[in-house]
Amino acid sequence: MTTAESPGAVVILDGAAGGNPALRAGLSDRWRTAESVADAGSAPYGVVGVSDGADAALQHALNDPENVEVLVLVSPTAIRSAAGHADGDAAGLEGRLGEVQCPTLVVFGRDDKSVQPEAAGIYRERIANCSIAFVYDAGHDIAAQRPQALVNLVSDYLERRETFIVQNRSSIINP
Amino acid sequence: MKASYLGAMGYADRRDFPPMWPTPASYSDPAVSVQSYQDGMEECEFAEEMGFEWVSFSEHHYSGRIATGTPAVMAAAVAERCKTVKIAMLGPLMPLNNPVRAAEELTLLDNLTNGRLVMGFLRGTPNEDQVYGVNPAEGRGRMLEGMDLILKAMTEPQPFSWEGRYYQYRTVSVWPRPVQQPFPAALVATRSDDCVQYAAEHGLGLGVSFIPVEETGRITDKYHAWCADNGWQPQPDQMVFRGSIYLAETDALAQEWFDRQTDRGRAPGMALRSSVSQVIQATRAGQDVDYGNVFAGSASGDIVGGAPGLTFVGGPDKVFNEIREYHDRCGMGVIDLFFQQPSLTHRDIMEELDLFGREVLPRLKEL
Repeated sequence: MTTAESPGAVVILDGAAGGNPALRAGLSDRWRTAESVADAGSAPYGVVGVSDGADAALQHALNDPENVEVLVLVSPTAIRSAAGHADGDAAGLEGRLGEVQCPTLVVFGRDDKSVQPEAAGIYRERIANCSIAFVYDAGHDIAAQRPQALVNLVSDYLERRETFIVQNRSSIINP
Repeated sequence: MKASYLGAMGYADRRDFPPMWPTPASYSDPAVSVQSYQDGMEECEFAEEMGFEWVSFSEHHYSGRIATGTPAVMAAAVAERCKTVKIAMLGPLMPLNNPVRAAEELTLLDNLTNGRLVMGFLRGTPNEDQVYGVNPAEGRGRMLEGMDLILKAMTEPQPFSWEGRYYQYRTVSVWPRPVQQPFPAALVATRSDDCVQYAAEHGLGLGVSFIPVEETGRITDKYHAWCADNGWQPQPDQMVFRGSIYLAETDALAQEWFDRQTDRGRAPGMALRSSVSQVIQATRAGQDVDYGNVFAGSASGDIVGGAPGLTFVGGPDKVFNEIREYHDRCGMGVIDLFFQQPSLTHRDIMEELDLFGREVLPRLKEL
């Protein structure tokens, strides 16, 4: 069961292109955020990886399944070739997707030209507990283009995991 | 060039409607209404028999002039009667509809017709923003996002979440998949640059309605240029013009009929209370509205919901030449025609369809 304290910390791994201050600021409002796994502390933690930082996040989830409680991959690059298969170092990660044990959210910008359309389906098929999300009006750099949408989506998933699909906002107009 | 019959399914006694929108439901007699839909479906069948290759449907609300508020229902009924024509949903109004629901209706129709669906995306006339309480200022944004979500819902093989500006769905997994892959033939019906650009960028066709040929040409020129920028050019079936028509045996007879309509003071169109139409237009344009100046607008305000006049009026030669201009100047490959003028009866329209099929359509097909 998810509690307000879970995950105890959120490790945010940026891609080579740079940091994601809006995402970091948004998540730090609710969780203790860390720049590295070493700073996460002893309690189970969540990992959010952005772009090629998502490859590192995926690697952590595979290497430390006991402590990675929840995983969020934002614009991941592990699967990006035209055939829907990874190239280079990412190829090994793609082959190990089935080993990921924690709840996983994979987020893509709707207009991300660097990701092949079939990539989302591959994550969802291979990771046992995987949700995929598309952010409208965003390309690869979702944190810059739709920061609030990304923070809200990731926060909701970190808190509620796969149950985030259940609507919990009131729609009453005149109570 | 192909011809399309707009299945308006107008209420038979629409000539008695007041020139206003919405038309009060008190004008609707169920017995007349039932017969009107039967007549309308018979017209669709006869149009197919006469050589029309498409039958189209359009979402319009709160009036018996085009009495298809839920066009998917009407399209499904006609698709069972007309076995060869394309069923063109031109279309669901994007700002008003839940895009996931629209995607489900469209893919189901594509299955029911075994791939005969054409889908068109429209913003709708200003009055129709009020039907489901849409803020007119948000209409364009809703249209752009709605189209994008529909296309994604039709093509994504795994369940997904959608984090939009206007729509948020945490589980989308549309069934059934469309017969036409990756998605049914699609066009954007618009005059606005941003939506024309969207069509060009996504390989979608273009629909234009009810405006003169030169004005249409300025839009299609931009569309063709933007398509070229994106490395493609539209096929004839992807270029659709919708116009209203009155066809008679001779130009003189057609003009005589047209003059009678004007004399009656019932030119086509529907008025909205002027104060309301001013606020809608201002809101759509992103302008601030000073509600302190809104008091009691007259009941006969701007025409905001009806066909603005007739596009084609005349005998067969004149009508053919006018339609041909849209083909030659604008590259239109499909002409979608609204025959159900308010004063005409079902018998009148059947006679018009017969004349059109004999005297105009064979020549259009040679273009």
